[in-house]
Amino acid sequence: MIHQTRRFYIPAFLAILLVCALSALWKAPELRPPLSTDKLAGCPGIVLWAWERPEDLQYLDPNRAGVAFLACTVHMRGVDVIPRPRLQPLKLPPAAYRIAVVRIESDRLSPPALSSRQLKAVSRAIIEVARSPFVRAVQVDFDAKQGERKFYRALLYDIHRQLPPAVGLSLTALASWCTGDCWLAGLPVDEVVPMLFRMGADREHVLVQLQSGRGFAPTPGLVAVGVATDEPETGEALASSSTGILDRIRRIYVFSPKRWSAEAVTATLAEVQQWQQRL
Amino acid sequence: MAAKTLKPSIAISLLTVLLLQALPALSCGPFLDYAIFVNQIHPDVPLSRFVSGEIGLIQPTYARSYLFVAYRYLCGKPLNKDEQAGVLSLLDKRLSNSEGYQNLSPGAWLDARKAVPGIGQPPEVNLYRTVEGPDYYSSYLNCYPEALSNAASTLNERIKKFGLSSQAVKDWVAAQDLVFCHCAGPRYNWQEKKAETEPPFPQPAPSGADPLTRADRAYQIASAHFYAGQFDLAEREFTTIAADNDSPWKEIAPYLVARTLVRKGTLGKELDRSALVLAEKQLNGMLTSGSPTRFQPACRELLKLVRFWLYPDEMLNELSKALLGRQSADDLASSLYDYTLIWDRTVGDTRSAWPTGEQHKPGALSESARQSGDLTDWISTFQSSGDLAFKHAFARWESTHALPWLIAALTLSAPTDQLSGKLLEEARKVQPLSAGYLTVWYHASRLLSQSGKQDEARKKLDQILANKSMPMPPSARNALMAQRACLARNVNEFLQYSVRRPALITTDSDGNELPDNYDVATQSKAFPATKPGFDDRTTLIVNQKLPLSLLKQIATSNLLSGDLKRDVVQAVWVRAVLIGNDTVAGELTAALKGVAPPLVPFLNLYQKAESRADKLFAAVHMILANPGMRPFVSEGVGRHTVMSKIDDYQDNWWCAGALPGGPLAEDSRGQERKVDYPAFLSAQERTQAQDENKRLLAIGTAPNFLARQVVAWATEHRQDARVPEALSLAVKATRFGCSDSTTTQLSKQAFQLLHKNYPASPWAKRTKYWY
Repeated sequence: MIHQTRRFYIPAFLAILLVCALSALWKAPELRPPLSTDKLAGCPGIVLWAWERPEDLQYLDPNRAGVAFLACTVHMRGVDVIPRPRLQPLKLPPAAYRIAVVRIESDRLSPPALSSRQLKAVSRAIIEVARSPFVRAVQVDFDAKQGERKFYRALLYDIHRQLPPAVGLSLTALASWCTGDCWLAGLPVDEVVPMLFRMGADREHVLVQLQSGRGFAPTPGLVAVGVATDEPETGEALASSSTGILDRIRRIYVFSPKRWSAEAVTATLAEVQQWQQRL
Repeated sequence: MAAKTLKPSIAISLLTVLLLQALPALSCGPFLDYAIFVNQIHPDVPLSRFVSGEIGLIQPTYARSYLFVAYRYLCGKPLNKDEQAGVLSLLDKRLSNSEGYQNLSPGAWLDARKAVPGIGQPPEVNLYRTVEGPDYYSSYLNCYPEALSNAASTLNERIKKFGLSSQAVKDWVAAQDLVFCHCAGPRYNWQEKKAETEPPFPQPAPSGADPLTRADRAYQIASAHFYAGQFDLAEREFTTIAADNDSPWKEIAPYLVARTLVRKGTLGKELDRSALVLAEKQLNGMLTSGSPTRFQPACRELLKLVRFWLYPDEMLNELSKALLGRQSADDLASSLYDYTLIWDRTVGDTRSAWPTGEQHKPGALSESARQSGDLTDWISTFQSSGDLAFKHAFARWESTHALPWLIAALTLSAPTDQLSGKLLEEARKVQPLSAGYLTVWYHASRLLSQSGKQDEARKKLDQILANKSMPMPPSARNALMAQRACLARNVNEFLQYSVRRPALITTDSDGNELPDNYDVATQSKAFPATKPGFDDRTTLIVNQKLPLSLLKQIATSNLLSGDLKRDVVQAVWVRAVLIGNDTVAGELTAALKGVAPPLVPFLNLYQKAESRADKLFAAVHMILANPGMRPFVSEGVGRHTVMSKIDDYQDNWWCAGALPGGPLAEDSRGQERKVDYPAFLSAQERTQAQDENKRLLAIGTAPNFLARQVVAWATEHRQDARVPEALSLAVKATRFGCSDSTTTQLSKQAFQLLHKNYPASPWAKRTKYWY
């Protein structure tokens, strides 16, 4: 929260208004129609990630949780783009809210060229997974290093332009992108999902943010967070945060490092709902 | 056109795409450097050193492909150069993210097709087919690139026979386009909101057509049904072709019958074992028939796949035997790939960075699978935990006296095990040149120290660590040093073994413990050179368990140098100031000046200050001007930004939670991080450390503490020229440092005091907001 003495207030306010207006005008051509409607409105407050392994979630109550399943992994190697769709079966209840996740990976031996041709190819692969009567949203998942950010920003704009209007666009994000390193600002996405697990050296910083109530920096459409079943303390930190950080969070994604089982799902739903009730 | 000739690799590819379980490719991770002192998932990079026999300290958490390599060396069957190359190529593929990603392109077919005039643009060919319904989702590689290149070859042959512009060729291409349309299957039409229908199938050739054209068309129709997933129909059609003596496809058709049955058996929602049994019968029939065909290698690979599904335990047994014999590079890589794939499918993938332990429970493999071969039994036991596993390992060692089993038994042994004495006796016989020497002595030292024989453990560890001629990967050295540090008899000894060079500095963005420049690192022959630092355990001991008197000894020790020394000296100095020990702070001031020259002007003022309050303000002012100063040392690579600069990732002016006893000081990467007091501490020193920690914890969040001190000093010392700057910095700290619900009030107080008392100062002009 920024505070100011009264004598600075009016000119600064007018200046901010002017900057906002100019900024809006400047960015207008990049954006598709305003993200005024919540395209993920029908999505339950809990979403289970179903990663690439055989998963049977038929027992899931679709009113309690949705499923974000890894639908495709796009591998970028040198100048090539190699999409590989999900090769493991996924079973789920017919009415489950379904989000197709596309993970983008870079080859370590032949780092990607990040060319415009690659951008188009990656974009095409992502649009392809949305070509389904059952997929309500697409979630894009990548680990962008500093030098790759320009590519990924352009990619998200390209995807956004091509997605059918009814399909939501979700983006996973490193927690640090939403705390100190806010390069996501202005992106045309319906949801950003900071991943509050496997944070490595960032973990301490992020937990400090959560516990101190600083919360996340403004990001486009921030309404969700991601946690993991084997790091329950992060959820606890969320639930016990002193200020209104969680007020804006409508959805919690849960990752399991192991194959889901009915028991694990029941326990997870109960725990997450407990956190949510404490909001 | 379905495959005309198949290389053996195709079946492996089929295995790959059908059975591949991807790495748990996690999306999350920091992009800040992170120090790993002991790799847990795999040996140190470059892996060529491990594969060539420098196996170091073997961890049960290693992926099984590494445990296989270790086993070969431990049981005296080292990999030869060719085998090393085969294993390395597999490991490189896995670690470079390349595994399972083939550049599949219909290019060869499209190029050949282009040569034919008057046939229009080709339809799009997508080789994967997705099967999706309201309750189901999966995909598979439907059309193999080889099928497309074989179609190109066939087209060229037909051009030669019928002529480039002949109607026969045009009809053949049109039919083939209809075959490949079924690779991807019907798409979903967004505009009309409905799935398109399955594309049309080729029609039978006219009755008066050339016999070759008729045979080709029958084959195209069967192939189209195969790709469209109409397996019963395709099976009948390929069976008919197999019986047609005039068809050029007669030879391959029986093989395609088997492939059709395999797909029928594996691509449904449930495994259809009866179809797989039929496929097995078909393939065995082809392989044992009196007239071998050129498709026999492909048949053997497909049979492997079928048996993979039907009899995984037997396959595991066969592969484990194959892995212990001599093989070519490709064959060894292929066997190891299949072997570990069966393991992963059966008990889970241990390449996860966060092993839960559950995957390592004994019995995860079926008993028959585990006992099917010594390699499998050893890996299973080595990755297990608990008394049952130990007893099994001990029994195996007793009956074999083999080094792998000694290591398994030692690893699983607790000092309370009555049998551990026997193991220690055996450990003493292991020679330094043995591949298992470091692993044996890592665990033997643990047992010795836990059973009261610390002197022997110390002596042995010192002997090993002093041996410069012994190949010792950084992870092994660090693990042994950590063990030796636990046996330290005084703070100097503790420090001697606590300053370690990380095995790896990485952003570890996917938790796979790999260097960011893997492409370069894997080509190197040397392990990466890293700067010394403290690992997580050492950091916790230094920050939480040592009294100031010992911390001062550490800060002034000549065992420290560079960034680590600067971090330690500043931490001890700040701690001394905060807990009111001006004596220690004074004694360390010269050292701090030496390691951090930019602090000299501040420290001169600190030294000149006469009263306790004056000294504290001088210190507070310096800390405010240096957001990286804090009363604790940093783990690994330390703070990512120089001490005097604001860190972009909020690592400025400490948080209450990061102080000794605070919640953030106890956890990292989701793991419990609690340590005991070092044994060398006296009771008085423990009490002293506890008391100092309490006082430090009471200081709380830095920006709040600092702002309070500055506001109090500013109120009493309005004329002090340092005050405007200190007030401005106090406000800045409330923005960029840690905060809580009281921060805003303190920020406002400092802000208002600055603007009220020093409105014309540059610091007031620079400070436009409170936070």
